[in-house]
Amino acid sequence: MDKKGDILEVQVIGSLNTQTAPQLETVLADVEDGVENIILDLAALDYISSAGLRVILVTYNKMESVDGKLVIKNAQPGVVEIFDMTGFSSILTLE
Amino acid sequence: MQLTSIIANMIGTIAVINLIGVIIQGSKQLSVIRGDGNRTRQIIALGIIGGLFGIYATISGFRMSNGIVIAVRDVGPMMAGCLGGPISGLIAGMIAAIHRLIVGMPDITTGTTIPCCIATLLIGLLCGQLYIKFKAKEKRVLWAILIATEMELMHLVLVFIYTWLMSGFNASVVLIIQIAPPFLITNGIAFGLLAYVLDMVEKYKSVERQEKQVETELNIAKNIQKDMLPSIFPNFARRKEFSIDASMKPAKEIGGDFYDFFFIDEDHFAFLIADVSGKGVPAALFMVISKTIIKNNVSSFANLSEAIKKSNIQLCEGNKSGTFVTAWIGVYEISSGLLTYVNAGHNPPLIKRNGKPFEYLRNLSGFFLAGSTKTEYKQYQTHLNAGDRIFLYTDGITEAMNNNEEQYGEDRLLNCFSGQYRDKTVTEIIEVITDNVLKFADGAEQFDDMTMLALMISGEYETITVDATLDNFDTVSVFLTNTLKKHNIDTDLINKMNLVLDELFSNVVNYSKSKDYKLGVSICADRISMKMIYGGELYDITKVKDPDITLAAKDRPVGGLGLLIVKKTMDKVDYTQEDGLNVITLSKKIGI
Repeated sequence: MDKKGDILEVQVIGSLNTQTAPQLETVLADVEDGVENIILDLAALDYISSAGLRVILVTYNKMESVDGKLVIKNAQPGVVEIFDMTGFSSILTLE
Repeated sequence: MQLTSIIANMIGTIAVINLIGVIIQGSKQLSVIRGDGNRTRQIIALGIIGGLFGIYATISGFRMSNGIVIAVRDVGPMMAGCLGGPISGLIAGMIAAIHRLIVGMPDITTGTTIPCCIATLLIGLLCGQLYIKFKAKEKRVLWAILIATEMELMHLVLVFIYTWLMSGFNASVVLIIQIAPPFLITNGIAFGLLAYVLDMVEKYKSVERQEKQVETELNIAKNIQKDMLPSIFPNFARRKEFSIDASMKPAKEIGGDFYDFFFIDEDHFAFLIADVSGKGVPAALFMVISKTIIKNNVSSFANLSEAIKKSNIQLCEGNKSGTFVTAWIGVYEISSGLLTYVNAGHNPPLIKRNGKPFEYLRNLSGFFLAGSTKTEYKQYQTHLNAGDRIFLYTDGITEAMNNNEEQYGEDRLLNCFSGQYRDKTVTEIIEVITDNVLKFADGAEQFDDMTMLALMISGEYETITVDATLDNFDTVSVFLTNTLKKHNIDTDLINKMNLVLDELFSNVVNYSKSKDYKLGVSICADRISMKMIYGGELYDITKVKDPDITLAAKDRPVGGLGLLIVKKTMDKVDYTQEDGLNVITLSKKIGI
């Protein structure tokens, strides 16, 4: 986790599944007010399950409500595939 | 008075000639003597036999009070000529005439030796000319009597002329009046009767030939029928997903058993066994039509019970003989392991699932086929997984009899699959059952076709069972990863499988209330198969509606995404309930 002004960058390593998604949710829920942009670096993410998608959706909606932005970067092909599959690609900003 | 006693005395000789005729013409062993298949030998043989007849007849002739001997000697050359042609007639005539000459030598000038000899020789020759015409006649008795009397008339004319020349006209007339009636009657009877018995022998022989021909044709039919059944090699020998073997041991008589197996498409394999009621040609014909109709319908209908319903209606059409068919038809979906089957009044197959012993699969779908057009057929489903086996058979197995009139029965059959035999391959299964049934029958005649088919799903599932708590996800996930790594599955696919596991495992933990969770993984050919078994609430996850993934982010539902991912990641997702448990089977082709 790396915070620079109003931008928060989070590296997600391993897999975002039933067991690990709640951890990310806790981390992101504790983000202080004033953070307007969250960047999730998924370079080291093996796979994401629906539990992880839920966290991303919740975070996305939260950022929208404060006119902030959620950016996903370095998503691996397998993860992008899941985003495409579930329609997340149409709402997320992928870099 | 003398005439009747002559005939009475001569009947013995006539009977002997007839008897020899029947034996020579009728006996299979004497075919060499008859010269069957060799015209030259036949001509000579008939000539000699005719000649010997003549000799016998001369010896056993009846001596009248005036010293004249009434003999049926000429019947020998007649027979030889009429049946064998001029050469046979000549040979027979010569033999009989020479013998007559030797016998008559002492009183050659006073007796009738010379005209008799000439007559016998001439008769042989003349009858030889009638050979083709006589052969073509069907009812030869009357012709034979006619020929015999004509020939003897000629014989009498010769005797008359000779006697006239030697002893004067009056003596000659007296002699002819005395000998003509017995001569004509005995020879007529002798040759007539001979023709009659030969006709009969011919008739029996032709009946026998026809029977033999029918038997040959039935054997050909039997082979055609056998060739109609699919063979394992080369089409199915190298299938990696399953192995199959089948056998049909027909009873003596042609019957109506059959098995069949074929691919409906790349992923669906149909296999079936059936038994047409009755035996013989009607059953065999019905077998052919049944096989064709069932294969056509099973291949073209997506729904098995519909296919069987349609087959039944088609088989009922024009079935006035009351023939019916019992059948067990299964369609195995390779990707999911799902077996869909219909049992139309057939014997229950034996099935071995999930490492448990073999058991009878007793679900009955409906009445046998070709019975009633109104029958509905319910289809059943079960899963066949790696190592599972199914054995189909006809009642020729269970109803095989031993010499004590006991039936083999279902219990004995089931016992063949217990203990050391429970893990036999398909070929071994067929061998073991065949041996066991034959041993039981102990030489008793096989009355019904014995037909079997065995199918075994390749590979074995590796399994793990854990308590259904979230903490155990790692354990299951590590097991899955290691199993896939062992089979050199690439990381990307391993991640995908873990994702699927994640979604389904969390579902089980969060919603099913099951105490435990079992995962089976199998890699066979080019496919990964996973099987999940858990208790709790019975709920078909495949019936969950897909969420709308086009809504705006704030309106998006979170539920249902997991199952959507599962369905889109795997090639096949199936849900069944077995023994009160939820069973999910999934499969994914490697490399796509």
